[in-house]
Amino acid sequence: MSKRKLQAGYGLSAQQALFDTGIEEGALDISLGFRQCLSRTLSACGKDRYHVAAEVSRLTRSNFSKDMLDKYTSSAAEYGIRAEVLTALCYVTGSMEPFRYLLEPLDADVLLPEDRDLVELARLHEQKKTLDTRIMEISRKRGLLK
Amino acid sequence: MSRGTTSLFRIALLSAIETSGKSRDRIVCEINELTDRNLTKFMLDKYTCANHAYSLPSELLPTFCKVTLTDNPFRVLLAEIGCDLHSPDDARKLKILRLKQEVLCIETKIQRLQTIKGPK
Repeated sequence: MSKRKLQAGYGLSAQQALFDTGIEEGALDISLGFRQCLSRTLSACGKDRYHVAAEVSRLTRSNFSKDMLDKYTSSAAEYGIRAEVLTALCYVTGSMEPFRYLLEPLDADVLLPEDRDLVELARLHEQKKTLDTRIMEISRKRGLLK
Repeated sequence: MSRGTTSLFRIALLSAIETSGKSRDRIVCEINELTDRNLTKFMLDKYTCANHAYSLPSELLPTFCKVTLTDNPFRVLLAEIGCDLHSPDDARKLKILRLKQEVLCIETKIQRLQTIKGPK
């Protein structure tokens, strides 16, 4: 895998500068790691692949087979699990690890439903802190504090 | 996975392309550079058309989002199972609150034990 940096002007025309993303070429080639993550998720879920495939088929109303699961977890890049099917697979396996793996390059993470209020609480605490600081600033400026 | 979500996902992809201000050719080119793949504009067109027989492979979604500067397609997929996305900053806040919960729990346990045995 090439690791050369995408730099403006390395090509033949000035147009190449348009494609300068500042990220190393191939830096987001996460295919193999993602397939390994899928494989680990399937092994750890406690259901066999036939069972998982059947449940995914039911949820997606499509023909999803164990053979397809095997292909999606193999190193053959020509087979890739559909993004829409991944949601069903995570639901069936009870693991959000495949999504977490995909979100890592975006510096994001999965927020579980049970954590929603906790994140909201953290945000409210921060807002309160900001408001308190501002109140103190104005009060001090206006001589409302001793 | 409802048909509605599949449609919403495609709409999210289309919207991402439109709001990115980049042409499809450029998006495909950037995805290929970042993933060492050979995606074509024709394939991208298929992934965003109304025909549900074609769909974007999951492993290309982070790069697609990175290139189009949006995480909305992920949000659509996660919303189907009641989840959402949060930033690293939110993750840090969540960790702090969980630790505070643990501290509170330990303090309660200590108080209970002290009540039973009496403080030294």
